[in-house]
Amino acid sequence: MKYLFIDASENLTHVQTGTEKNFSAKTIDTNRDFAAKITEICDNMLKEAGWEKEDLTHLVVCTGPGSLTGLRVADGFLRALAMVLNIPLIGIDLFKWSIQSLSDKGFEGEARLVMPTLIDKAFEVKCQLSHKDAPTQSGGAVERSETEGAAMRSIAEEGSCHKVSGDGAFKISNPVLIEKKDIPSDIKTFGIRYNHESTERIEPTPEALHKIILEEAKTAKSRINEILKVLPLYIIPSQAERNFKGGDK
Amino acid sequence: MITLGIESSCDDTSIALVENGTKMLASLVSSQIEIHKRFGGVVPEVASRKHLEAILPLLNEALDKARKKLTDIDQIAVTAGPGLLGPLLVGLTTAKALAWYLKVPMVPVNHIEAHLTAAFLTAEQLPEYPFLGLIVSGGHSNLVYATGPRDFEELAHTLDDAPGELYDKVSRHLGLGYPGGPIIQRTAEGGDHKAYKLPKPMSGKGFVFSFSGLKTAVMRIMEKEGDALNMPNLCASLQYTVAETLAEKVELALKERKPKVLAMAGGVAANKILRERMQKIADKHQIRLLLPTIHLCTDNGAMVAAHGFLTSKLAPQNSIMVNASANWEMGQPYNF
Amino acid sequence: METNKFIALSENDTMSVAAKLAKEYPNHLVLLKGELGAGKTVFARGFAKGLGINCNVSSPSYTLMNEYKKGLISLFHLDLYRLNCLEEVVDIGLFDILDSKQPCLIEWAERVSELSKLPHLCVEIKRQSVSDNDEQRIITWHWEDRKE
Repeated sequence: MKYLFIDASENLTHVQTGTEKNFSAKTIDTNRDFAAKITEICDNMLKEAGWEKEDLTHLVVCTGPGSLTGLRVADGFLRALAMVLNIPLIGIDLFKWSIQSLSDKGFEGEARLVMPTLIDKAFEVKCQLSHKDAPTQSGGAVERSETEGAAMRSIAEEGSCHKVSGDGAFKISNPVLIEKKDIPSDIKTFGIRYNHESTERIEPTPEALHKIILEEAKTAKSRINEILKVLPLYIIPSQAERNFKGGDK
Repeated sequence: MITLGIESSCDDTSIALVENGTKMLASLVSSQIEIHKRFGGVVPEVASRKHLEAILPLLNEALDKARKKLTDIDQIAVTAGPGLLGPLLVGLTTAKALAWYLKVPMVPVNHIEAHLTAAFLTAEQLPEYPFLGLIVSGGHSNLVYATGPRDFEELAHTLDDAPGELYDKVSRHLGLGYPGGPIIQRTAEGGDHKAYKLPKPMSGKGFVFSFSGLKTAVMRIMEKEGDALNMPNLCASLQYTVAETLAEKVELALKERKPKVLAMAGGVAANKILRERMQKIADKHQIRLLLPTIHLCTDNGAMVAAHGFLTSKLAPQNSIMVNASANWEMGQPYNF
Repeated sequence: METNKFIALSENDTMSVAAKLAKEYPNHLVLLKGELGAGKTVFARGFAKGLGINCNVSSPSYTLMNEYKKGLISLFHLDLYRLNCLEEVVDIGLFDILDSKQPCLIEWAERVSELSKLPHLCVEIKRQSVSDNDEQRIITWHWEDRKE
């Protein structure tokens, strides 16, 4: 296995390559010029790993949330590449990545993760981490619209729980939008790449990412409709999707 | 030589394959294909989301239609601007991934310049210089004198709205719908363009366009007529006035310059009345007029491919490092 | 809240007051208010000049957003008039730009109410008839601090 990963959700670009045995992570400051430098970044990653493009077996992209511009450029680039290389594209969001990082730190119990957005709002995700050898629960796959191959993840929805794999069992709720002023809470709260007086900052780690990728790669497929399902997390769900589900309208 | 053209600057994504800059092997637009099935017939409204969804399936369809494989592509031309940043980035990064993988050159193309090349592509030829070009669309109204693939002398541009935007706004105000141009053309059929008199903006004022004054003039007629308003007449008059306004400036240019060809392009170039008016001018001045087909008037990948073919030697070696530019002007240097 | 006022008799006047403000507020958010034809884009032109950027400043009503670059400075010039929903606002990367702390001029900012919650320079341009043929512009501005 040889994977290449790009996270363009914030100003600093995080990249990573890896095999089953090891990985190499780097952070790059593109000076807000990520779209211009993307091929150069990939060339350097391959050179440092000593690989050719054709050696790659998996492409991985961070789906956000974050800078829509960056997310879109990374996703657009990697999905086209996945299609022509005929390899899978794996999408990993910052919630899952952060929770795995939290678990790696030994955290157990109930936690809340927040990430600011839209000036005065924030994403909130609640989770329950346990390190017991609990049987992996199949309590609900990720809730998605019933349309065939629907790819848009509405994330501003109250959600049921779903499972994230890894060491132990996690339960995560779907992300919801809250007011920034409601960030302080009785539940232990972590800010994803975010400093706040009432929260502890969590930085998603390369190790955690590596674990998730190894797990996801087991079932990832290279079919074009699987690649097309990997999309940036849009803050506001598409009107189309809401209309179809017979939601507000 | 096969050029893949990717156009993703505004509402629709379009991908085309063009041979030797003059022969269209396939040119498809995203609204044509069935990507909206997954949404039960409704496509995401937001432009860049639509583009991201559509571009890869569209690419496959275009290759199928042209009966070519990815490895048959010799170079990739992509709109780098002007336009909406989100959509532009989708086209650009897709082009970069393909160019990077296939190890072929990538040519950044200016969308407005490409529109003019569309007029020549329709005639299956490369542009001849010098030519006089009129680009009329939703966002643009430029009269230029072209002396080379990227050499344009701007003779006139609009101070405010472009005719396409004028049509959109008027059509919306009249309750007729969007996009305005085709609707106004249809509504104007059988109408009498002399019934209402509209002022010709900037008439006699030389090389300058202005169309927002017509908006206010139309609104005043609507208020004055009330229920007695004759829609076909009003639309006919509006179309006529726009055509005459453009005609005046084109004739002014033809008197001063001696181009080999007169070319008109852009979404509004699909307007029947305008096309007829330009033909009259061309006949009067005994100059050849080149008009794009309706498909090539609107945004399309074929014109991008053709213009990419034309300008490939002018693009810098490291064009794969180009960034999208929402306000890239005709003839201006590549932005990197 | 101190409001400043200036009467512009010509486009050049509008541009010079804009250039002056650009020097005082070189990497801030500016919300430009004014009806159609008031001269917001003329103001933007002057503002760019004040920042030392000599590009052609055009109305972003079609592109939604223009970027004028000079070296490391980028002036973002937006026009939210044609936006229909919050999705579009997010999609054009408005919030990314606000995070980048580069100078940003927004016309028709009233379309997105959240914007007024940010610290910004509030500029308003009003047309005023002087005689049958003559018009002038009344330009007023003040800084909105918005500390929570």
